[in-house]
Amino acid sequence: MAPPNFNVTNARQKLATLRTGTADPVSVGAEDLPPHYDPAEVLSHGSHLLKTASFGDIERFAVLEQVFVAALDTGNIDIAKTHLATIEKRFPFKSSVRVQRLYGLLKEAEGDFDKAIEIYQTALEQDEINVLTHKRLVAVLSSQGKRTEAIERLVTYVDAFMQDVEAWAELASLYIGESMYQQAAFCFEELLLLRPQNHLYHIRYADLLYTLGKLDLAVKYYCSGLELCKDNLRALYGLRLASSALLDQRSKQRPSGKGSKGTSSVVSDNKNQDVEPVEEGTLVALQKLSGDRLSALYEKQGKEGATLALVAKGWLQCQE
Amino acid sequence: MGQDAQQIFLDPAIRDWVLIPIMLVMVLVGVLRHHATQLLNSTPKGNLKGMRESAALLRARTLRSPAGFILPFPAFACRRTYLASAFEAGSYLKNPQAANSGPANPMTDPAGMEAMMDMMKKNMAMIVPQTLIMSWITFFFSGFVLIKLPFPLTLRFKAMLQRGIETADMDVTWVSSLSWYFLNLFGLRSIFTLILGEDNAAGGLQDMNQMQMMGMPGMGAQQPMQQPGEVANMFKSEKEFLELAQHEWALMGVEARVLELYGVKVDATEGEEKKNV
Repeated sequence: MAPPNFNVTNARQKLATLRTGTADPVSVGAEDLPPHYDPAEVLSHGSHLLKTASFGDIERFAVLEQVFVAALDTGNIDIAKTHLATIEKRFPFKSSVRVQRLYGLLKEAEGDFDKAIEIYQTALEQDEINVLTHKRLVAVLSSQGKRTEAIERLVTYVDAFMQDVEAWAELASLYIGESMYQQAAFCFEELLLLRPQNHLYHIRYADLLYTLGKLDLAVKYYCSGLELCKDNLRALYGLRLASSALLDQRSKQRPSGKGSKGTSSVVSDNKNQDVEPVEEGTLVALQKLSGDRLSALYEKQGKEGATLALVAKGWLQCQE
Repeated sequence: MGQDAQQIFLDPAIRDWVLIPIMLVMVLVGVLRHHATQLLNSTPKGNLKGMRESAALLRARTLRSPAGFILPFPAFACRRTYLASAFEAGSYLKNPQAANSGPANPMTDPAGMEAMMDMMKKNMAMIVPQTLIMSWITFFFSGFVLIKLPFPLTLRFKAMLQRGIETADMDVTWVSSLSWYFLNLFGLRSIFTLILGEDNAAGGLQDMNQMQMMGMPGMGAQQPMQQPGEVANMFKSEKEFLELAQHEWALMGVEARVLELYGVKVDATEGEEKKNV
């Protein structure tokens, strides 16, 4: 009856960490990453736990909710419905915003998005600071492909919840989907403010700057990403691209006149006079460094990385 | 004052009809109270504007903290200007018109009103049953001696253990009915946790703690009784802090640091030559 390799205390522990686990990669160390969320496992272990283990009231309903969501994730709508009925018996639909959100989830899983949106909206009327419901509403809209509407909602949301890292990241990716890079860059600036130590945000901000043509800044942010996380591949690739492009741009501008390394025109192009341009020699060194590190990293992989190393080498040569 | 001098024989009926009933009634009332408060309890309603208000302050603080140095200067400057002007205009305030109307009456704020109502409900749920029980005990059982404690005590405990009995000579170990009530009132807490679990509302003590907390300002996000004028002042001072904030770009010279990290040496003036190598 029990699922394979089932252990009551372990399963309980795991479900609990999954419940409290954060989606924010920086707040947890690399070693104690939250366990991987596997809805099928949560469903089987959770249902078994519900049948056998004795819970306190609080934990029991938390597990019920968790198993309900897992059931929806795996497409077992009938199981989900029975669990929801149990929850609803204790916490009636009308008074509990949380149960209303679960109903919304059920409707979403059934594909009835309009009904789900309606449920979420009435829930928000009852409790206007329910973070999860706000987020669900955005998620429904974006999963329907109504990206602009989702952006609109999310913008009003982050206006009130300015410290929500997840929301800013989501908003940025929505903006990128709409090719609104300027706005996405703004979101990443907020993320940098909130999580200054997260190299991933540095690197992705640099990607956006590169896309926007602010090459000097992009090089700087790739560098700071590298500084925070040595040998980060994405940062190395980005640094390679950005520094090459920047060198290219400068060499194109140079023929007109050798004076002052052509920096003044570059700066006025980029519209950020406050950024000191990166020195030419440093750029060359950075370009070379990123290329060297890339090929070295792939070679270190040994046999498995052999093909990758070849591809990377080819790419690096193409660049030159 | 020896034990022999005071042989009081208590009627077993006192045990059966006074001692145990008082305790039973108190336990039952506690349980009832727990469920009643759960019914009365309205979930604290958050307020979007209030959230926004505190979030804006926090955002300004992050901006002028070292985290702000990560941003490129234009991004930093635009945020600084925007926030400063928004604070000046009071556009993040919960109710902007209250900002300049001086010390406002907390009764006018609907959120504050609700919090007060909530507090009153809780207090009523505590006070009413306790007064009823106390008057029941004083009416029927005043002057009863209920139990004898099995250990000796000093005279100072007399006021605590023999309330309602005005005899100077009786041994301190005898407990009067009213004192038994008080012992129960304060001592039943662990029994309630046993029956109702943690965080129960059966005992009266938590509520008193809560009441004391209410008075203190700056208790985190939940500030039911905050004066609107106070927030406006916080915005004003935050605006000044923002205007004073300096930006030392953390990325100044980051490329040199990275090169150093990898042990690459570069001479800026000889950049052109390096390219040829």
